[in-house]
Amino acid sequence: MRTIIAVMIAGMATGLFLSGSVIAADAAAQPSQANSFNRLLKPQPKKNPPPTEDGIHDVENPGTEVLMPPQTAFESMEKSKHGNYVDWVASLNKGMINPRWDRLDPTQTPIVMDLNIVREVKGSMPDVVYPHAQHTAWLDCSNCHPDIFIPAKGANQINMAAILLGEKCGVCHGKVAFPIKTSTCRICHSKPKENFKLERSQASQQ
Amino acid sequence: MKILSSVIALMFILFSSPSMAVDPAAKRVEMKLNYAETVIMKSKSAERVRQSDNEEAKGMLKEAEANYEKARQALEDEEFAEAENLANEALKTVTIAAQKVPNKEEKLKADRARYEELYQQVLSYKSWNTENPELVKDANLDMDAIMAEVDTAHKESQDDNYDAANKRLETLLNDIVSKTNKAIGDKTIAYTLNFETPEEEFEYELKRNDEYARLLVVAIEQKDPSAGIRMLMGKFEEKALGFRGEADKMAEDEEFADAVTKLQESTEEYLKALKIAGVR
Repeated sequence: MRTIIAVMIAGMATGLFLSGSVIAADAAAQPSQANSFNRLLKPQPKKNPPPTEDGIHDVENPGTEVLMPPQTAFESMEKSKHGNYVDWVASLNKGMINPRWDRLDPTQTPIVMDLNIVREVKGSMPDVVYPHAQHTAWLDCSNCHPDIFIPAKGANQINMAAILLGEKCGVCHGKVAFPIKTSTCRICHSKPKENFKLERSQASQQ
Repeated sequence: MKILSSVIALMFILFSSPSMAVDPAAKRVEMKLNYAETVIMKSKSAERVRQSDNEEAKGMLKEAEANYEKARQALEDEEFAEAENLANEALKTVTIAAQKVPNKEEKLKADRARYEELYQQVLSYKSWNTENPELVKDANLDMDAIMAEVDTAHKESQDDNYDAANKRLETLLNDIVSKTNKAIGDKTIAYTLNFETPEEEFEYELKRNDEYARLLVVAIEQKDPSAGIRMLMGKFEEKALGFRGEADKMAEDEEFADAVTKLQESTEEYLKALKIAGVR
């Protein structure tokens, strides 16, 4: 039931917004392979294009015209410089959005898990800090575990290629959450390595 | 005669076009109303509400129908904002009404899926807690009691009593999560890259190498680099494959430490190819 949140987030990416209402299930369009493209590699020519121009929705479908354009939906939200130009975490923290936690029970509230995972990475790049708190504020455990991340030590080998291919963190990041760009590296790679010194080359020492 | 018909045609274009042009707001509202008509008048969910004995849902459907009719009237009166608001309201109301009368088959399917989801989550937490005893020792979870609840939920699910099974698992999961949360509050888990054996590291690098090779194909497809860049990428790829071949051979001979170095060299070549294609 809580997976409704994931569906809603997918809707944010694809512009599946209806002005003040939700599509009744049996009248909903089922876009196929809506997220098979990869925005990480292919920037969109227009910032948050309307559903009729986003290349995802069926322009022949009259329902497409009914969808609220993302630019209108995102207008009042906290801005970011990346992806769909919305700072979702800030918008959530400021109460600009209030994701429904349970489809049937409006009184249900999320159980936020405050556990940071630090992942060591090779080379000089700072290690990655994954904060559960920001994610569990609106995602159910089942959105990520165990299908995307197996909750066991050493079971999840993550690398940038996999993320750029839309796997692991890339299931959301680059589609609905901030994308992987040179300007966003430090959001995740935020823990400088202890005792790491950049060695000067022989040439620079001369 | 020809001149006269041309003049008439020209006048038709000049004078009739503006009035024939459709106001975008009107078009949008019209589309929304057509959609609302489909949902309210013709959809299976609305029909389900009509056939049900849920008076509250039926009342809401009637309200949606009334708002739809008012919206149509507002559109005719060119009060587009009012029409759109009413259409939105109608759609919202019919959606809530439909939720109050769920499709039994769909509900069963959704409940089953939710059961599987909860079941897997409880088991995930159980194995995670077992693997991190130090981290969660303050949670004091009674694993036997947890498994007894899981068994009861399983029996309920076998009788298709998913309402009870899911409620039980949700309560159980909330209890596990909140106790675990309290125990691990503001703690950090660090996953290092200290591999126990060179073979383990080889497996890690092998996966990484495979994924960069896959990414290269996607990058070419999506970045569509020029022929010159592609040629250069091809050279890097060729080198990468060469190193990979050497690494595989070394791994066959169980020289994993050297194989790791070769694999890293191979991945470096893929990274160079990706960089020149614009993937950074």
